[in-house]
Amino acid sequence: MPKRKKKEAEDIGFITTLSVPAVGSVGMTGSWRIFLPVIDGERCNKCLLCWIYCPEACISKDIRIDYDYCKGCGICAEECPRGAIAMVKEEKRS
Amino acid sequence: MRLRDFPEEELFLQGSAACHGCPGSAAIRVAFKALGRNTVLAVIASCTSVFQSPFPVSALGLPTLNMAFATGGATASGLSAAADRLVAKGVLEEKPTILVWAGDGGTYDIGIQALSGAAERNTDFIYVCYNNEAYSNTGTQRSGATPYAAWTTNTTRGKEEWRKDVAQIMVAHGIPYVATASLAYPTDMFRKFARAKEIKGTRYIEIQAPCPPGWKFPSSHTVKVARLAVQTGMWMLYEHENGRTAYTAGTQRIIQGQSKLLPVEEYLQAQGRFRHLFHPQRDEERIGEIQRRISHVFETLQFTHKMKEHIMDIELAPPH
Repeated sequence: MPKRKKKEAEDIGFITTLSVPAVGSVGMTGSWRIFLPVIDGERCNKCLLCWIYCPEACISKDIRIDYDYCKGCGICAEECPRGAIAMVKEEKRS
Repeated sequence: MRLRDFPEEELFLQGSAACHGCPGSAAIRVAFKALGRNTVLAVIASCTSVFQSPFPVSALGLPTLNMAFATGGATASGLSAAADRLVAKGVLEEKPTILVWAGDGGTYDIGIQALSGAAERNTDFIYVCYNNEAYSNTGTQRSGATPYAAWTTNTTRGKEEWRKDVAQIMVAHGIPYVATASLAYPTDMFRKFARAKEIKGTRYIEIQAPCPPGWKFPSSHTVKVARLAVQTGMWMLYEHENGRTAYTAGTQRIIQGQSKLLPVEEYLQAQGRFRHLFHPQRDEERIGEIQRRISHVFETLQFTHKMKEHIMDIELAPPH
């Protein structure tokens, strides 16, 4: 339960049916990944296409990938005009 | 508007329940960036109702109302009237943008009655249909937006009917702004949302949303398929304002002759839902029929464009 919700419940004594916006609403979606996008900083010319095409908002405007939530769909690697993003097979997690 | 000028603030939050490569969440990001924080969102039953994630959290960083399938226009009418009243009372300083976010099922089939009513009353809201051409949320059933010959779970040999064009139905309502957009052209989409935000009255924007599991292509090809749709003429980008239709981005380039219209096969072959047109043997008849329809439309448009260039010099006298 998000913190604000919990505090609200303690203060008022009931929980509203309103949802609260939160990052990671279904957990760490990075665990869905099979292939991991890796950016080659030297080839990247910061055209921002990967940033706007990412359906999960996982690439920041200074081109850094949030691996906690990246689902590994591969759109960024497919669309990069300079081929600066490679999809690497994810190491098996324990 | 260049990509680097887009606002950095994310109102769609990471870690949603959307599938890999979901076009809905990609479209919602651009829409939220263009509309900004002062927006009230009504989500009509669709994939968005699912990927905004289960109670008590939400991946949508805007005030959101989840509504039933048939209620898009009705919800917007209520929200818009309430916002007007709050502004009149002085509770709100500025009227928020009312945004209805619906899928093609909730627009083409179930929601069109309420939408048509709201458009006829010229209710002040933006209606967005993100069109994945099937009921993808419930496992890809056929909808009014499914194109000819496409596979769905209840058109296993390909749909026999042609899709209807709700954007043109909305044009016929005479509302102030109608536009179509594509995921592959984010600057064009952003500009259309920013333009819609400035206008008062009913505004309708339709986004084509290639759905990886429903259309059967790899999740990394979402944007590629969206681009192919525009380049082959299966999806046309335009905006309609003040009684005039202006074609934009990829479609405009094809009409003006700057880029070539690709054969529709490239689009069909990129997706598994058209596989029965190529395997076990090529279905020349249906592929040819699709190509003929597209070519006819584009030949007409290219011809009108050339004619317009010739008569551009003649200024029409104002009607009085």
